[in-house]
Amino acid sequence: MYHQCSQLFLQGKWQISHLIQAELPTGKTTFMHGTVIFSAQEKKLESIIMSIEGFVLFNASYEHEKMTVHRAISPLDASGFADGLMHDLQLIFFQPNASSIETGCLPSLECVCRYSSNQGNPIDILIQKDHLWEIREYNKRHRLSRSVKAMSFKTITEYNQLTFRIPDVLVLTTYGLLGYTLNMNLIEAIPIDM
Amino acid sequence: MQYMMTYIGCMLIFFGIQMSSVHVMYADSWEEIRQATADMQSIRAEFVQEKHMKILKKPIQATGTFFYKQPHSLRWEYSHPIQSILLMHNGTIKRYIFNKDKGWIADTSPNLMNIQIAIQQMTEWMNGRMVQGSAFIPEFTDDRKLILRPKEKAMTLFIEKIELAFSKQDGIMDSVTIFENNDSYTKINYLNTKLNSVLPESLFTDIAYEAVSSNPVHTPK
Repeated sequence: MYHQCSQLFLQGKWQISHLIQAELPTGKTTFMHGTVIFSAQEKKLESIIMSIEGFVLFNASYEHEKMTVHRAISPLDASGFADGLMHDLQLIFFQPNASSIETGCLPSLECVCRYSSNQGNPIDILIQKDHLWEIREYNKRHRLSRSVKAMSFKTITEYNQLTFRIPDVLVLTTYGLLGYTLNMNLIEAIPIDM
Repeated sequence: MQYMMTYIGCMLIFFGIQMSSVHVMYADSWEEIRQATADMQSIRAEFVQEKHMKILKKPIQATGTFFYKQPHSLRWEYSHPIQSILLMHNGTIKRYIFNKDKGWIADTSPNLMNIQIAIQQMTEWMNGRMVQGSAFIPEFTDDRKLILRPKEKAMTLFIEKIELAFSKQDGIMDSVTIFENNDSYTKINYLNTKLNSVLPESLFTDIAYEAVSSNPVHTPK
């Protein structure tokens, strides 16, 4: 079961681009182009958010558990935005800390791997029979704070014949008063130095 | 400051419009450009946009078509890899993105309203008002390039320079390159440019539009 959960996360280095449809707490909808370059082993990533027209609105990197913001243009310079974004990206692309893992299956036949985040919050990975999956993060009071759902998949075969199954559509939802939803449609996934 | 950010943020859109003044042919001054483009009524061109950043393994590429009609109508349409249409007409601006499950979805973000205000101001540069209104210092080079550098220091933090390159054969603009800094630039190459074709109003108001030339009704997929 643990192996199944860990397989959901891409290994190696990748450049992945999404069209992001953001549903904001105000009820408005906006669109962005998001690119992430990450190394799964090193838990290192760089995030670039652009307008649809290609203007860089936000650029930050995360390495050795430290974030550096290189560029942030209004409204993406708001307090807490960079921290929130990095949290979202780590939840999507990095396998949670492997310690404290518990596994089991629910009566609904979903199987679950339970991890503990670096902050000690529970993170559940649910795998359905059809191999669609969901990541749920809870706060310390065990209330759901974030979820990521993989809605469909794309299989990518690279020149060296390696095959990768990558989520084609991801939906990230944060809960609470300022909760938002990001509908992420895969544009391109490029393995780096593989 | 926020206004300036919006202003910079819509530079790429704006170059669809700005092209209409500068696009047609190379000249040695704003005044020559104004004279050379006096009879220009509309432009239609395809474009290939490439985003280059040092961190990227491969540049991010997009293709599309744009249409411009005097005085202030613009359709800036991406066809790949994202399908997106930005429409500007009679002082209103709308953007739609195609979702394979939900069809065309309108962008309702407040930023779009800010873009509208900024574009309205920038279109004032048209028709000879570029000198008075320009936020850039122009430099006309010998190799048929026009380089624009921001006048305001605050803007240089976000745009280092803009380079417009013109064809040696016919003087028509080949490309626009917007340098954000040493690590990042966007290049837009223009192809198959057509001037003064008849463009129906629906092109600037509706996602699907009436015939242009002999084409049937075009409905983006």
